[in-house]
Amino acid sequence: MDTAVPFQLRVSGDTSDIVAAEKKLQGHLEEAGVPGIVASRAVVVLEEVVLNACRHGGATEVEIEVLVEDRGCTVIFEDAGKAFDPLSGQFAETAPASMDDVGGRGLLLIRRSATRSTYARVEERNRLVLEFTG
Amino acid sequence: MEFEVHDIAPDLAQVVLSGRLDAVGAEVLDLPFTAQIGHIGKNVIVDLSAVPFVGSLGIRVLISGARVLQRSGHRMAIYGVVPAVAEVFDIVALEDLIPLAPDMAAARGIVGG
Repeated sequence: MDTAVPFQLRVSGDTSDIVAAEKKLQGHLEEAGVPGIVASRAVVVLEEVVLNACRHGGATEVEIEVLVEDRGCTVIFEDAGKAFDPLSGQFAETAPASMDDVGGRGLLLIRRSATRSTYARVEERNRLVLEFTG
Repeated sequence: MEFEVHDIAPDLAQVVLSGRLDAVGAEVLDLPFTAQIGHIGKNVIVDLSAVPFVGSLGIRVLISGARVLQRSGHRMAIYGVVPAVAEVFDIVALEDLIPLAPDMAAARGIVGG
């Protein structure tokens, strides 16, 4: 796999922008030799992270950096929206029981898709690091 | 993203979705799907065999449909899910809310009809 140059994207909360970013990410990961199932997890999570940041956190865009590694990839999301840690909170570990708790499903997607995940608030920015491996 | 509705029994309708249920697909589908489901007045089985991708907004649309049906005393089951989508559904524990079936016959068995 190619580990030389990080792949970077800037994505707004517009749905067409998100879908375009998903296709670019999918293409990059396929080209870099990341297994399909691992790439799919990263692509699905992109939508949820960007929507959270832009629709709920007030961010205008999310910066994404992708590092391809031997066993998969690491995706780093950064935005200047309000502080929000998707890895903590009541929906992070258990599935919502009610159909009215739809939002919690997306947080599960972020938490459970990644093999390793960290969140930090750095210089007024959210920084979410998700590692995807097979 | 497209969908078709077929009445296949007096108390059962089949909804066939086709295309990517990504953020754009979910936006396109959301209102017409939920509106039609809301007026359908019967149990629904949803065929996802022609849907290669479902994102978080797409999951919300499916849950909204199931919720609308539940409020009118009806049920929804999903069948024909491709492996990549099945993994996403498993991650978000969708089956806690909407029954998933391997095929149409099994879906009919779940909702009745």
